[in-house]
Amino acid sequence: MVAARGITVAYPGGVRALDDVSVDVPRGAVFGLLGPNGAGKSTLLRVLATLQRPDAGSVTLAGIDALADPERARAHLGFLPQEFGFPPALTPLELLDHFALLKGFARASERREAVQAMLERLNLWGVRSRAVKALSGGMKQRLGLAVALIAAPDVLIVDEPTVALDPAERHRVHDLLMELAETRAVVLSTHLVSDVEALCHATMILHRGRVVRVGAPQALCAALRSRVFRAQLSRTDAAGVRAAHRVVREFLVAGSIQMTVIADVPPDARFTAAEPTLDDVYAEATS
Amino acid sequence: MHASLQRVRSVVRLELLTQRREPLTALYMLVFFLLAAAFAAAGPVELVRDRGSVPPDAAWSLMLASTALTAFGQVITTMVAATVVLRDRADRVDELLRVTLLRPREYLTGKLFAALGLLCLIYTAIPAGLVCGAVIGGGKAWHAVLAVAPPFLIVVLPTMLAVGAIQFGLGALSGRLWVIVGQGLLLIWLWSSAVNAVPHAGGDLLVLLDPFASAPLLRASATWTDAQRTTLAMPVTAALVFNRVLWLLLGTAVAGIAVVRAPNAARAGRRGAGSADDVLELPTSAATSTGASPPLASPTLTLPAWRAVLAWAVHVTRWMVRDTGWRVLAVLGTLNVAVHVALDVTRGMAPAALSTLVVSALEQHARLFLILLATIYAGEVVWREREDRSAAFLDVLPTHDGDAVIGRIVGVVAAQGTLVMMMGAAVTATGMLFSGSPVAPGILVGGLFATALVPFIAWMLVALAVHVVVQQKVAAHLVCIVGWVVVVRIQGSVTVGAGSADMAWGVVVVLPAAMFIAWLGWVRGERGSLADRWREARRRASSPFALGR
Repeated sequence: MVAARGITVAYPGGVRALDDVSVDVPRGAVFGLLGPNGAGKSTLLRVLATLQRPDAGSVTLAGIDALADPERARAHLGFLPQEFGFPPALTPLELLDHFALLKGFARASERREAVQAMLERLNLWGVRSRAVKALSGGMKQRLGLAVALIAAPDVLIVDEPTVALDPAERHRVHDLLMELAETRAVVLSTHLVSDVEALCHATMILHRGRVVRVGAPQALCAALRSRVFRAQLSRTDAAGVRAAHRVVREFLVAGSIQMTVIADVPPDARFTAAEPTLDDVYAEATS
Repeated sequence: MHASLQRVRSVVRLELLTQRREPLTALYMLVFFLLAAAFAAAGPVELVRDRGSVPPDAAWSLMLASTALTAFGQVITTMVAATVVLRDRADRVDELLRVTLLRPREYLTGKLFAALGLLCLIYTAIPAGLVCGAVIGGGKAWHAVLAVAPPFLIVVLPTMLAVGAIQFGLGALSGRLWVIVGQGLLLIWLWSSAVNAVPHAGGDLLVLLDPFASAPLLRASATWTDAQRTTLAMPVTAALVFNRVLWLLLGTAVAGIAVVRAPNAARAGRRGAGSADDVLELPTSAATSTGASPPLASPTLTLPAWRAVLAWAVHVTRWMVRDTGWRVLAVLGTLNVAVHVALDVTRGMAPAALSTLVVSALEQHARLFLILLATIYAGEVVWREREDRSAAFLDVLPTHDGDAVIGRIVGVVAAQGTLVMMMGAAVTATGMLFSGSPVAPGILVGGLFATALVPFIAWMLVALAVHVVVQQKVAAHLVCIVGWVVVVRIQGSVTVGAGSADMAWGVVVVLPAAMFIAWLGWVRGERGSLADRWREARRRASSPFALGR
């Protein structure tokens, strides 16, 4: 459903935001993009969403060459950018009606039904006639999702969809994305490893514009099996381990440092083998 | 006290550093300098009307050129005041600042001094340009300096300080751009009314209302012969001094109130925003849970091009006519022309000429508002979606580029056309009410079309094309303003597109050309490099018939 090959985006000065990145997302899958700030996630999403032309590579959405014929590809696309807004004086009903019409709901009755169903589905029906400026952050986020989902796109591209939501709202968006993914391809970018673990059939870790890991979360974790060791150390001991081993994660727990090391054998007797998590994979790939 | 001063100084320093790195500061100075120098060097730039045989480097000419540039510079004063006072809020930096040791009053005081300091720097380009131009034109440098110094110290500097302080104060109190812009227009209206009152009896009091001090100078030198204009220095009359003192006091008062009161307003605003969220948040339901909702509806029809164009037009018209700034400008513009018609009629215009008077009022008094609205909202069509961050949603819609651009243009033309109709209706009603005579519909409709609607739309589309090509909002606005001044000067009058020949040119050449450029250069998605934009324009140009699909 989404196939991108050899995507390269370079900025003036030679900095490569993306370097030979390829993505395949079949129908029925949620594909997660992970990476630190500046890794190129949002650039990749914008390329997939036909908003930015890559310097090299190809993008196919729902079988359509999105670089040669972006207008046709857009008919199959729903996009939720990381940062967005709406004209503050307009209402959710007016906005969604506008987007629905331009997505192809030309018949008024059909459009009315689709808009109402979407607003109800995202708990926005009660505020349909309020100006956008009077909506809370969570409501605006749901309105953005409603805009992305109207017209049931085959490909849904979402950039940090749960960033402004409270935990309950976040779970509902997760459920919605999982449900939608049953019949379409979803590409999701996030900073939250837990989101990827909860939602994604496959994930890609980007670092400095390059793909450093790609695969199913379970498979990525399995690749690290027997190589992850953890220990709780004092600050003094931690300094010694840091100098001699590949420490991928460490954080303070009750005054001591919980340290995770990737190695073929445990650094010393204080370290015990641990079941790898996606956090370990992410830390190992980007450290 | 010392710590407080240090914090104020830090705010001033940071603001000036920010502005120094803004290319616009240099651009503003350049505009002032070039206009002033070109005028004083006796080039084609004519800043002083009815100059006769008085040379452009005479004290009288330089004095009036200073006042003209100061009045023109209100666009720049407005932009600087708005940027300084509103940018932190727009960038969401104000909340970070509020949790520092910086007190709101220190913050506003620092910002005020920074704004005024920056304006001082920018406005020094006026005397510098005038002196430079006078020297280039063959005049003596010392003579030019002596001639330029009084108007700079008595007219330009106090005006800049007073108007800058008023705009800053109102911006700080309201937190709204439209208040600053609306107030700028109000000042221009006061200036225009005071200048119009100069030849009339009782004008002595009215000239006090001129914030730019043109009227007291014009009144004092109204009876001067060309010889006197060429030789006499600037007349410093009691009316001029009172005018200056009045406006400086007003500026100090507004800025003082803002510094004292605005922090309270800001705190109240924060509380209000929090409670609104609490009230509006709905109880959540299980409607989005897995399996509980019906499948999403898919569209069954392909959208015809005309329907897409209409949808875009409705969207643009809708947000424009609900925009507070547009509404304020529209109401001010309508009131302005209506008041002028009322004044003209009561001054004894023959009822038989009412239709001509109404058309003439539209041409004379609506022009400034129409040009400002055309320039501002042509820019808004290009920038608003990016600024309110809805552009990404709109850019991925499956509509043809041509439909989207034409639709937006139709939308903005419809909204602006509504405004022209409002003005037409207001002047007609006022004229009929005050004269008791009917208006000839043929003359009125023809005049409205020829003197207001077509030039207005032509100018708006030109401004739109400029914004699309320049791709930098403020720079494009400046290009438009400078372009307008150049057009006015080339035409040799202050009327853009008033004649039928202009109208014909507008319809035949300007409108299609501007629309074509806007369509060719319209940026969808990331802006890309110049080469990318050129490639995209060529791609669109290679299939022009896809425009209407």
